[in-house]
Amino acid sequence: MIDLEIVRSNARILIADASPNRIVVDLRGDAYGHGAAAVAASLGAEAVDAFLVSHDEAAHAIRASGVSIPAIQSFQADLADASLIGPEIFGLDTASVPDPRGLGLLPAMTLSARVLSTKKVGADEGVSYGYVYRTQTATRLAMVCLGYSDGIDRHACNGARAWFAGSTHPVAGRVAMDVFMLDVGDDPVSPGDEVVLFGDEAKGYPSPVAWAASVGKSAAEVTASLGDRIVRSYV
Amino acid sequence: MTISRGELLIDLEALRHNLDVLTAQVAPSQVMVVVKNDAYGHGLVDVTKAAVESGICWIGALDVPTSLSLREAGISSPTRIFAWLLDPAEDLEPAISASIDLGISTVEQLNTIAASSAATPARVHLKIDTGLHRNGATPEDWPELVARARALEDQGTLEIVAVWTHIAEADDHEDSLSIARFEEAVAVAHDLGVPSPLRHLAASAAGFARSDARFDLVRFGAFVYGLPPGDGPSAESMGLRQVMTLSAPVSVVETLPDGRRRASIDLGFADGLSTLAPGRIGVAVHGRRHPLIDPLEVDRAWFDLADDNEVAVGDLVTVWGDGSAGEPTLQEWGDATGTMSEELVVRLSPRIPRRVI
Repeated sequence: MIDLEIVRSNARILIADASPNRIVVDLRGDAYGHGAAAVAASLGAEAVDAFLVSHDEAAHAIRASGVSIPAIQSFQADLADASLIGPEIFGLDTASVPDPRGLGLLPAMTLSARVLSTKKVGADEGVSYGYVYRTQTATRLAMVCLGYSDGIDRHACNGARAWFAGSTHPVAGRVAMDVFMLDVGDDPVSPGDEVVLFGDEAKGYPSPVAWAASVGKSAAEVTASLGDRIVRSYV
Repeated sequence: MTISRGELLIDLEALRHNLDVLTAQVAPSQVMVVVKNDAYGHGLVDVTKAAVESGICWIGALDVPTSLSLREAGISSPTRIFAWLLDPAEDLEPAISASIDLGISTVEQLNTIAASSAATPARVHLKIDTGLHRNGATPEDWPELVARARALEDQGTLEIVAVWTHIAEADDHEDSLSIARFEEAVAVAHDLGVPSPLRHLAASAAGFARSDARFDLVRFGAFVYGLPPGDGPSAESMGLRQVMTLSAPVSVVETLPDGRRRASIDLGFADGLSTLAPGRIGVAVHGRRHPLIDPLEVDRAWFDLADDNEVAVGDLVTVWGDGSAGEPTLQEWGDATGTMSEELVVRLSPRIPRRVI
């Protein structure tokens, strides 16, 4: 889910901080997975001079959504005198803004998925391919409907945690192509329950920056490589 | 011919060759061709049709929507289509009516089948958990699952087609334990009135290597596409051919202030290339390998030209392929970037145009 009000609020903070140059907002990589057309439309009334996009398709989609701010591609862009606002507009970390929350920039994307099934297992049981994860105590495992085909890193088991029912829990075992397992401990869990991989820390979710750090990537890379099977909904 | 940003070339002749190799390797066991995730990025309908034309009777489609889309594309019965990732809120009636085989792990799923309005019996494959601990009934829950399915079979609600499992491929010993647990579950099912179900356990690696893992049917995904496991024998040494080639035209050639020369292609991490690739692997132009270098951008990748003066804008860059043009294979890419070739192909952007030959 993508909160366009947060994108607008982040944009205003960044535009106010920028020198009074031409403001170009970087929407490459389909707005780093947030959806270039929807994001551009939400910024249509802000003090933005141009959008930077990756391909013709994104430029067409932005024009088709009725936005009058021009969408340009890298080879057309002269950015020498422009202030380029990058993935920090989505509350993601960048080289120039390593701590977006410190500037008041909140994550626009909340990545959630549903539990497909659950299972009780004993202590010291291997989980998923290669058994790289072993349960410490008897516990409950939830099978969550996201996998590496959706852009969830196969190695998220090496320290990534996801939110379920008020607290975060470890990803158990290698992420498979279409699902991953979450070790939810004693929490009661049922098929259909919601798990949050990242979102607003103030709600107790892992931040996108924290999630990305646990898989050794930048948050922009994580959101930009999320697959199309993940439904983007906007508020 | 000119290609825009990039192109995926899918060689169905290589795919058919792989199917012949796999079919011969596991005979008399049958082959299921797994086509989840748009046939591992190779194109769902093209791959499925090629498999059916090659005599394959079993297609593994992951979920009900994919299965139904194959039926709509003309993959009709008697080709069996298997779906095993079921949404707990899903109405199974359309799948049952379309004669989709369903992988079933819980009594709740059996109850969903019983509550559906389908006019024909559902075809079910009962799943036992033999150690992977994803889905599948635990050995404790197994007798109840089988008994409930038998009762519904007697009522004409369903037909128990198969007993199956999924193993961890942790090591040979662990896999042998899983095979023994599977045989035990088949025996339990037999005693509960399931005399001779189809049995399937193995995916590519175990199915190819171990005759005791094949049972009646082997589910082949990665090997169909010529994608062997990492850090092991190459596709070529196993008699398989990589089906996918990823290429892109050179978009920029430039000389940096320090005199180094570099060139780019317009594919980046938003298209599915890994930021771990620079410094670890290269691409091929005119048969010569050039290392990828930082930064891997959101929509662009750079490679070092060193003293190669023959690379020009528009020249074809092969990112990965079967190696015949000097490029790395997907296995080499997986090994270099700390993952498996399957992750590389399924994470590719579906917006990269695909050409089937």
